[in-house]
Amino acid sequence: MSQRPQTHREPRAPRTRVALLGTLGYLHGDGLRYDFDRLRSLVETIEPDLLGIEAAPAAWESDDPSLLAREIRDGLVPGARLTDTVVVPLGGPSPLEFAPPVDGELARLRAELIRAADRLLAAVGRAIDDPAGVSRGAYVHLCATVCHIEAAAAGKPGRRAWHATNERIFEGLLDAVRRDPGRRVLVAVQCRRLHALEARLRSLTHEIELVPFEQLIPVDRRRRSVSA
Amino acid sequence: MTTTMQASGTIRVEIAESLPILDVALRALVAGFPGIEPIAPSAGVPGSANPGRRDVASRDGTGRPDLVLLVCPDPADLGPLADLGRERPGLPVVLLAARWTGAQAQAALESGARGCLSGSTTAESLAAALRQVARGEVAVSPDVTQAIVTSLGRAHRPAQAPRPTLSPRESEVLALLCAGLSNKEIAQRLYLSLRTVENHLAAVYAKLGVASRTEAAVLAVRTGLVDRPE
Repeated sequence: MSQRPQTHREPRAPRTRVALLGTLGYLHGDGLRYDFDRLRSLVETIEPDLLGIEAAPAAWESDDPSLLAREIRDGLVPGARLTDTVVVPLGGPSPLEFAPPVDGELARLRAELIRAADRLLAAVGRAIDDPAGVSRGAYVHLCATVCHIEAAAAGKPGRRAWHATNERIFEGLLDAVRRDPGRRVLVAVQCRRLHALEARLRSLTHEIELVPFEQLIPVDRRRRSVSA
Repeated sequence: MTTTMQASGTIRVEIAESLPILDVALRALVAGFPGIEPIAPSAGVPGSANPGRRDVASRDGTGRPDLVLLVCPDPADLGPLADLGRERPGLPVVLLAARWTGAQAQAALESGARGCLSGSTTAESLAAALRQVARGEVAVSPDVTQAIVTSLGRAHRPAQAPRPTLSPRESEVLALLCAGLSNKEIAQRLYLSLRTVENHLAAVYAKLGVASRTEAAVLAVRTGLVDRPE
């Protein structure tokens, strides 16, 4: 019996564990006082190999902190700096995203609807007052609902900008995963993006395993409580 | 070298600094690093070789340190390092001095120091260096690496040995190492995890036939793998 020739197979790259952390950064200025120390502490506890942030590479590499959102420079990055975590800028937001429309009769109504939706998110965010809680349970669904409402109200330019940013962040994350597969990756983006990003990531199960962020915490630290 | 750090996950650092106020400041700084704990050295032992210093030779039973952070007022004086090496062999020592020449740093590393940090060290860099040494690596401040490479580059003619073949990523990592970046800084520059950079460096060391980043930097300059620093 002839033997089949052996084919040399390249070992498959290990799957990368990715966890998503929703933040409320874009709501600052709406009276939302966010505890950056707890956000920093969460990043230190998880100590991911890579921390993806919602920032443009050019803004990150400029070393100008004013170009970064407050939650990034005051919460996420300080948490990474004192650990072995490497920060990866995935892509920055666009000012056009869900910008309240200014033209037309219904524009005022749509603009008010967007502002009301943001106020709702901010109010519930204040009640939770915890970076971990923003990424769990009902608040995630609320963020997704708000996203759909604002997308409907914003009009085409706003929706286009929103989808473009989501795509940019997704591609940035994919580049990071493919550049360095098999690591523990925490991705911190504004909570409204979570459902969109999650849907894209779930299509890549051969490369990416989506996990709750608690599962990224090293085993010897899991006893430390991550407030809910 | 096994370390008790592996069991608990906490790196215990003994700080040896003769000036009480600086000792307090360093201790407070190190205490703020996640996963790192400063521990007190034991009290003076009669007949200590360094009566002017707080002795680090003996234990008081509060637990073995994983490494010692030794402040050097004069980096040309390696006596305290030698004393530690005799009295507590195998215990990693990281030296901290305001400024190093290339020759001084090279002498310290050849005498067994596992780290040479300069006055340019930031809090984040200090934390990273302590973790590196606890993992069994050598930690050298970027400006000290530059000084060593420059010093050795002037002293030696380029070698005639054939260049080893490095992958593009390995070449990138090596170039940044020669520029004096720490492993964490290399990782951040290339948007790779620290472990991946360490893996690349291990591959580079193996290909170059060296055992440390300093040796790798010197050989890279000598063989033309990277440009000689100015």
